[in-house]
Amino acid sequence: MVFSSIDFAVFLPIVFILYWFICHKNLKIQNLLIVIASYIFYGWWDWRFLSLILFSTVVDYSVGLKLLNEENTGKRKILLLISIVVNLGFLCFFKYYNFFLDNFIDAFSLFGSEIKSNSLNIILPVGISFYTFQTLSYTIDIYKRKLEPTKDFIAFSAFVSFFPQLVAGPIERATNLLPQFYKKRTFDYDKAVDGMRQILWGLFKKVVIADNCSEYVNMIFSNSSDYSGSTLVLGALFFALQIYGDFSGYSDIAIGTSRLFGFNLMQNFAFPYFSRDIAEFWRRWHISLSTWFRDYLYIPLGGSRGGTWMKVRNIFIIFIVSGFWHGANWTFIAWGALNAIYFLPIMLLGKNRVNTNTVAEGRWFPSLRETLQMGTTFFFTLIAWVVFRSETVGQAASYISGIFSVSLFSIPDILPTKIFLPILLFILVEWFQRNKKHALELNDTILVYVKYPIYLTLWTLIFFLSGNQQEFIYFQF
Amino acid sequence: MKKFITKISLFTTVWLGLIIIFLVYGKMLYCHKEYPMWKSKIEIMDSEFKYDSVILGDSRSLAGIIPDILGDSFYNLSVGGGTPIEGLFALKRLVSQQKIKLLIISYSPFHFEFSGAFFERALAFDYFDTKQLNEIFFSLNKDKEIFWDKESQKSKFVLYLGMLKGYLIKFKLHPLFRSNIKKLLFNPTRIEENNIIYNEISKTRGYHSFGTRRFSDGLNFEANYYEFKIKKIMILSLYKILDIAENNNISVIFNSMPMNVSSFNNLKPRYVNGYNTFFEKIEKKYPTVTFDYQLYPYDNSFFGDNSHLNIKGASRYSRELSKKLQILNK
Repeated sequence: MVFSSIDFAVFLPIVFILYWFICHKNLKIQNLLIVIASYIFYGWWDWRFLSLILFSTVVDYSVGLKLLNEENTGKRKILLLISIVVNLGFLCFFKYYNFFLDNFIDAFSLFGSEIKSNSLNIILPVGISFYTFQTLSYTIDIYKRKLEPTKDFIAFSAFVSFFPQLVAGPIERATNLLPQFYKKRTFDYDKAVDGMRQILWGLFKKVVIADNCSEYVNMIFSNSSDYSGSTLVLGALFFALQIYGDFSGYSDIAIGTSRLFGFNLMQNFAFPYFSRDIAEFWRRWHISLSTWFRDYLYIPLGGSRGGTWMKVRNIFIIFIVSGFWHGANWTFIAWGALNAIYFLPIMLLGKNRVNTNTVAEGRWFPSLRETLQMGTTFFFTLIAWVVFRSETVGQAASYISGIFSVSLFSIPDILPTKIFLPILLFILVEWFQRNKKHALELNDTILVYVKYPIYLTLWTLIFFLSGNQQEFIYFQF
Repeated sequence: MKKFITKISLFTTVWLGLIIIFLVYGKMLYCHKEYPMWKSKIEIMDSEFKYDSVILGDSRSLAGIIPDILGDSFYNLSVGGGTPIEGLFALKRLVSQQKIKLLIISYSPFHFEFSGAFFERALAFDYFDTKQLNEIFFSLNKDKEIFWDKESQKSKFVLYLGMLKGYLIKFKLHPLFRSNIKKLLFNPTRIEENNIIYNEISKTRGYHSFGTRRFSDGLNFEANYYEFKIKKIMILSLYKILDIAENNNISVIFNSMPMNVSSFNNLKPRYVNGYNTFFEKIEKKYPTVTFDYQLYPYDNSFFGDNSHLNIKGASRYSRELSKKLQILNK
């Protein structure tokens, strides 16, 4: 079920009413409702893959309980390994099997050996990378004795399958989300209203910005050799807006929906395109994944401790793995490596935590220096997005070389007059709200006469200006 | 909780109310250029109609019959995508207030096969009121046909879904309007374009030229069809038109519009035979009606697009029709 679909518009109020009016007296029944609703939500795509979630839930729940009573370090390691192998095993099979097989065959063919093997026709279960990482965090935290395992199977199932964030995050930590299933939830009016605002803004980003941009992106990227350099820049720019609108829009809807049910999810995006350097960008982009890799990969590898070589190695590992997490293609690996290259000088110079505040804090407009910093960071990000969006590394290279041609200074072949105004509105709102948790977080002091016209306008734009419905990009990851 | 649900419900109701008001009263703002044509015809029928000779038909007769050439008493009430269903209700409107003497009917063969514009035009443009819509669904469509679709092998479920869609459009609750409004937001000058068409078509007494080209060898719909499969609702509507005409002493001429040579040469014999057989039966049933249903070509240079005559073709056709009317009068 897609958040921007009619199905979800029917599904959400039904679950909401059942949750607060029928099941509100009993926490266990409320949690059970969440599990059932989440399984329906997920099964809407392909019910067969529910078995994967269920299996993963049972394995991690059992491993968690076993770890509770196991003091032997060796046995604890084996238990952790079981969880890792099961979760990453599914992930590797469904996501990376064909990639490894094809590259293995290609590698052997370089030496003149022909290996005959057919790729399997594997369907990638939606959101597998997200819930796999979420459940992994549970067993790892228990192993590290940071978390008490739960004995409540229903609560744990609800934690694993919680429908707002099941298929595209935010990737929640058990330490944050799981305890919320133990506590009685009471309806909080302000929280629910703010949740609705966040949903509204998320929908706007997804259906107006991302879906409309995607039409131009598909057109330009599928025939990139036919377009001028300026059009290619436009294509990259639209993809930057598309992927941000799509993914952060999903996160906003997920967080907003959770708030309707009394849950608090972590912030996943913090206006990343207003970053002044790449380190700041990565603190603001897909925060739940970046921090996951930081805590469960980068720090265990040694982090920024140790010598220069160690730092360089760790940065490359984390970025390349992060790229590979996005998909089984060399373009994602190249995208990760490129970001590592961007990040490296900042890290080695020890300037990775220079820009920790919000840009132009307390001011309406940025200074010239800040503008240049943001522009430079955005430019580098744009180049990386070209690699990310391209079908092959070769296509990415020719796209980038196409940008830096004489035609860069010509008038673009495609002029996006249709979505210019919504994009302008989007950028302005995001800019002026950049110090908030989300772009539609409004103070209580704002008059009703101001608030409601904003809601009506946005809802009207969402309804009438939506692009051709596209699946959320991150579902494929 | 109560406050939250009340606010959400209130917001939704207000939003929906505003949208419906806009959809009902702002059609010139958001509808495409077909709307001013339909609107002008609806308005002229509902006002004091002072013409005694009318043309009922579809876009081909709309673009092919120039009332100025036929005489001052003629008005072309053809509508783009019109079928005998629209024709029937137009005639009902007219006979209730005005004495009509002559009725020229002209529907393309494929408009007896299905009504492709039923939802997007007839209903979206409010050509029918709710009572008339009920009559179409529950009385005219006796055989429960999916008359808005060429394919007839559909289930009852599809029929009921279609009927539901019809009512949703009628009450402006269907997402069909979204695409129109989306286009409006991208084209705010649409109202000016629509006003121009509205004023123009009012001056030409219902005539409007679609294709502006000086030549067209493109194929029309019929040239791509293999079999003439008529919908019973269309026959019934045509019969009702002819019955009303007979009861009100209205002279009727059924005239088919020319096709371009390219399309005519591509017509399948089976299709033409089916069409001719259908009209032979009607001709026998209504001997007082003048039928001129045979399909025939005009040179491609008389066509502005695949189906419609250009101004040169319309002038020629209207002159020929005028001569024919003079002969019939004698």
